[in-house]
Amino acid sequence: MKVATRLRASMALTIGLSALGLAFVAASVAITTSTVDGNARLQKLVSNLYEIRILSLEYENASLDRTARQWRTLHRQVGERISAFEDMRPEILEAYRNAGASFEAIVAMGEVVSESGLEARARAQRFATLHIEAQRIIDWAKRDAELKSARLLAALRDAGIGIAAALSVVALVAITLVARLGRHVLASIGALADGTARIAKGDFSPRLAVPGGDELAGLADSFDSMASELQASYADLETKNAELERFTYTVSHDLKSPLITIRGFLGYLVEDAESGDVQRLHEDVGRITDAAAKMERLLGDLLALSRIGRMANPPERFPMRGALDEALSRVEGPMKASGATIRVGELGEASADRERIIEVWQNLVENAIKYAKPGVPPALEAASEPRDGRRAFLLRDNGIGIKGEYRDKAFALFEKIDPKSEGTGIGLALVKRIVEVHGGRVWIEDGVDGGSTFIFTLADGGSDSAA
Amino acid sequence: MPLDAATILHVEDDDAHAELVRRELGKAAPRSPVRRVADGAEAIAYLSGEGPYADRAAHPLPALVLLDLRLPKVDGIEVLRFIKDDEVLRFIPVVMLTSSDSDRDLSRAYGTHVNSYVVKPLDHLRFRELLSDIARYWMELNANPDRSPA
Repeated sequence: MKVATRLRASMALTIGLSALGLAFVAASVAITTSTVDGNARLQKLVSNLYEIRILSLEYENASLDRTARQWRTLHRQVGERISAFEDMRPEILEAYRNAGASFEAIVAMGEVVSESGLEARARAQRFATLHIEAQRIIDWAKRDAELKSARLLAALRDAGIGIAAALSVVALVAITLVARLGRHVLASIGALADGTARIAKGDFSPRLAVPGGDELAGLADSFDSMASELQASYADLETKNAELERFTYTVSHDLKSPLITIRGFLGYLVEDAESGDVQRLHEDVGRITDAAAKMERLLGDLLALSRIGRMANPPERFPMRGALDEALSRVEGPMKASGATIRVGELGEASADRERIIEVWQNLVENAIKYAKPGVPPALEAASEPRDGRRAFLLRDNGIGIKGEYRDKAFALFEKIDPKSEGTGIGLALVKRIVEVHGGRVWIEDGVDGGSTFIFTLADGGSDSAA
Repeated sequence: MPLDAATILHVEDDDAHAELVRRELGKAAPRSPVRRVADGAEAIAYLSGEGPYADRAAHPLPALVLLDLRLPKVDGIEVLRFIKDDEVLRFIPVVMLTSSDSDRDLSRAYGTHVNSYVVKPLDHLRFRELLSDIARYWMELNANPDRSPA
């Protein structure tokens, strides 16, 4: 459940609780008011009944017409009032009506002139009956009033208990919800704070993985993907940094090395001149010239290498044959000088930075010429064939070859497998960089007569026949 | 062991540097023949007496190894490890002679029990002095143990 939903639910519960409480108070007030009202009416009724009784006693003592009229008026009024009580018991109504009839019967007997005799006794008896009935009505009414009060109070108490119980349950649910929400929020925020602190210290490993689909889980997801991206870019940065460190190291070494040569042999030049050893002077000048040329080559190759990082040309689709032909035209001089020949098979198309692919071919061909067997003119073959579901391009030579254990090292920057070689150790590193920038791979297999075959793929190797 | 018969093995891929060292050692230790190999694999072959180096009379075990750090095929640290891991060869003093002054190389070399680590100076006179010092110290002053294991 979302945090917002849970917050809303908690708020709704709280509002419900308050409403319930208010309803309870209002109901209590209403019930109490009606109870008090009903009791007052009953009290009034009881006192009216007492008045009727008193009038009855008066009439017994002195049977005045005025008293009888008063009695009747009061009886009628009280009768109406009794009828107005919605839940008045029928036996009370009946008894009240009987009392009226008894009184009329007494009035009809007329005033007793003589105190003696049966008549007086009968009259007294009727009066006694009337009094008793009146008292019974009073008792009933009083008892009813008490019962009603007791019932109302009991109802009030029951309602109170019920509402209190309901309120308790709702309050408990609300408290549980809020507490769980609070724990969840605090735990998530704690994890987030902890993770952030660790990332700030350079540890990119923490992942929050907050379960559920709420906003905090969403936040944790964002945090996790941010941490992953940071970790990836940091690793990438570290790789690049290490590469740069290695680069700086080798460049400084490889530039320093010819400098040592130059300064060393410059020192000998003076000795050669002084001793008049012209032949050694020529040799030493030659070494200085070679070292300077080596520095120049190194700088040129470094420049080429630095260009790959910012591959400016957008990929285009082109026939690979055209790229190879252009590369061959660039190495025409060394090709002729070494007497190299090349046979080109079907190469298909490639989608890549054409200029860089030309550089790849150029470096591979130069490499093949450089590492030819002494006295054997390089016989090269360029072709393509499907490898691992991609079109692979290859250049086969009949050169000195590279032993299996050195084949990976051949592509490392500034590595030279043959210490006597002219190269700077950048050419094949350049090839590897270009191929990898294109999402491909380059490796070495056996060639002709102990020579090598250089094979490379590109991410989008070719449209046709590859597969 | 007669000092003048002591061979120095120089492991160096750069021909010009090898020539510089050969000339300077020729002056500083004229009676110590300098054998030069051009890469790490060749150095190991020489030291273990394999292939073309099987004849110990023609290719005697050296009294000192001057070892370059960055070498083709097998690098200097690997050669050093090979020497120091060998029961016999580990008695041969190895002096790292390199153009690298990086702390990492220095600690890797000492971590692999190199006997000395010197950086090739750019200046010609200092280069000459250095080689002369190395020859004097390792071939004359320093007491080297008999090469057979104790």
